[in-house]
Amino acid sequence: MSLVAVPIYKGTVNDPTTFPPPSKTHGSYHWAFERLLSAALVPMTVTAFATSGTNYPLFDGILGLSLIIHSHIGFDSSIVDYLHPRKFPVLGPIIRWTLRAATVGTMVGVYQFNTNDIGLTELISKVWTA
Amino acid sequence: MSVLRPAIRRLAKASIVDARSFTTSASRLQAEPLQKPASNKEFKIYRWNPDEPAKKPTLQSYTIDLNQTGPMVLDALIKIKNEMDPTLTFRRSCREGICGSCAMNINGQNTLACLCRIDRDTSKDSKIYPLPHMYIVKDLVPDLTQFYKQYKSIQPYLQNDNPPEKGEFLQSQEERRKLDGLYECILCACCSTSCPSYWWNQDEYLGPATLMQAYRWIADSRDSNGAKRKEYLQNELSMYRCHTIFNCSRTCPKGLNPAAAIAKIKLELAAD
Amino acid sequence: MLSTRALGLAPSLRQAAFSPARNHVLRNVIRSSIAKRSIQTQSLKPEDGTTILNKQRLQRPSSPHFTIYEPQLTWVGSIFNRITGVGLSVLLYGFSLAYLVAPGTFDSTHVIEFVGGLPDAVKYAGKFILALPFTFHSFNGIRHLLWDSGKFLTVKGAYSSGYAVLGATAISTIVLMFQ
Repeated sequence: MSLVAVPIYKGTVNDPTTFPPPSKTHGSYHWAFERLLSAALVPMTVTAFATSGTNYPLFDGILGLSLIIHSHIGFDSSIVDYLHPRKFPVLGPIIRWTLRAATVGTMVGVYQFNTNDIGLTELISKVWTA
Repeated sequence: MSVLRPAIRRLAKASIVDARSFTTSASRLQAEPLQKPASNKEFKIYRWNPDEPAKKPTLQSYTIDLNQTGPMVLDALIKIKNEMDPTLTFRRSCREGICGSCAMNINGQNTLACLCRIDRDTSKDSKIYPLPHMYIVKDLVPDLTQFYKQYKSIQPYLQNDNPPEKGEFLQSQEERRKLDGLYECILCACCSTSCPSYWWNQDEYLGPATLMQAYRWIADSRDSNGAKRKEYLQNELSMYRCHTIFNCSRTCPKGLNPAAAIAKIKLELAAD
Repeated sequence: MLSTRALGLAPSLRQAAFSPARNHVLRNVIRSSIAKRSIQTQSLKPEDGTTILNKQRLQRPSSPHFTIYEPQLTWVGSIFNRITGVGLSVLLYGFSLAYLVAPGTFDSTHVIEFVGGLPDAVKYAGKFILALPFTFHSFNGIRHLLWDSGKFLTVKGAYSSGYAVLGATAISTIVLMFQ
């Protein structure tokens, strides 16, 4: 994407706009995956509420991982909306890679918390009633 | 002449008494128009002059008598242009909501000025802005070049390399019904310019108007190029910047539903 | 009669100017030579048209958008969904990264102790601040999934489902606050 100022149009006024090369990974696969993950989170959250007294580490792990991936997709969508690299050639990629590093760090942190500590669902239910 | 007038008046009065022999009388033909008290409303209109580009855009105030104006906002604008400020610039043509020229932001909502009734409450002013987040040529006239280029890019024409040997492409009533609510779009750009995703990514995101027309051709049973049309949208920007914000359907002055059309495209792309 | 249909003086002046056909050529020559001296023309290449237009385009302002657009349930609900999502995710990421960096300070015992020691008012406020975004984002998320499957895809549907989400958020936040 060239950084032509937006009021200056590519081509003449009679030329149609162009499309980027098609890629299902960035298109329908991404969309479908995002929706399936969000849909899966609904029964998982309900279960987490229902079993808030007891601790199931495997379930906690899956819920934690799904929440992190869901958050990552949400952050990424915001970056594409507001800080897309085509308009922010320096800041955009920096934020994107910071996000990826943060996601990996968060996954490790949640894994550690689940293994060495009581796990996310337990923490929330205990803090809530503290 | 003036000497004769009282004489005519006396004759006319006589004829009123003798009403059965005359159906009209001179005095009754010249009825006095009912003088309504002036109902003044303030209009604050966005102004920017390309001949003085350094001067920032301003809101200029005009007050008009609503009882001497037509009922629609376009009538008010035309009255202001005719009687108060001929330099006020705006697009208009059909004055009946079919050409799409007078699309603008009235009191915070995008609509057609010729279909938007003036709020008769004179204690509130009426704010008129051009369509949001568009480059302004002058006053209320936006530059719609990008909008039209995007519309052209979806190839809004029938593509079918196998025409029937005789006659037209046949289509059942069911198939034709699928196009209802899609073909009536007048391309006024109210919906696209109400979409925050279009505000932030106007150069790549196509916007609800164009996407609804893309769906109009995908859903047309006579068109055979549906697969290619859908393939064009397989990227993160052209269509997938739609987050179902729903401003488009809310603001459409023709009552159409671009949000539903885009949701249908997403389902069709996912099903491929 | 031509003159009665025409408006203004121009047609009649034109008639008067052209009717004496004598000395027609001489008159034209004088007229055109006078015209040449007062008007200067400048020849431009065809591309210059685009250059001039582009220069004008760069000076055009962009019309106001979210500052003047009427707040509506449609887009206010949508941006609030994003704000709540980002806020909750920042909390999740923040806590997890903090635990990774300093597991001693952020382990469950310390956190529970810290929260337990807070005054009641702060506890209720904290529950409100956490429950509201979570419930709103969850219910609005379900509304989004329903839209994606084709339900409630009209303006009426969007508004009724929107109010249902607001109602459910309010009720569940209050319920959660007093858990």
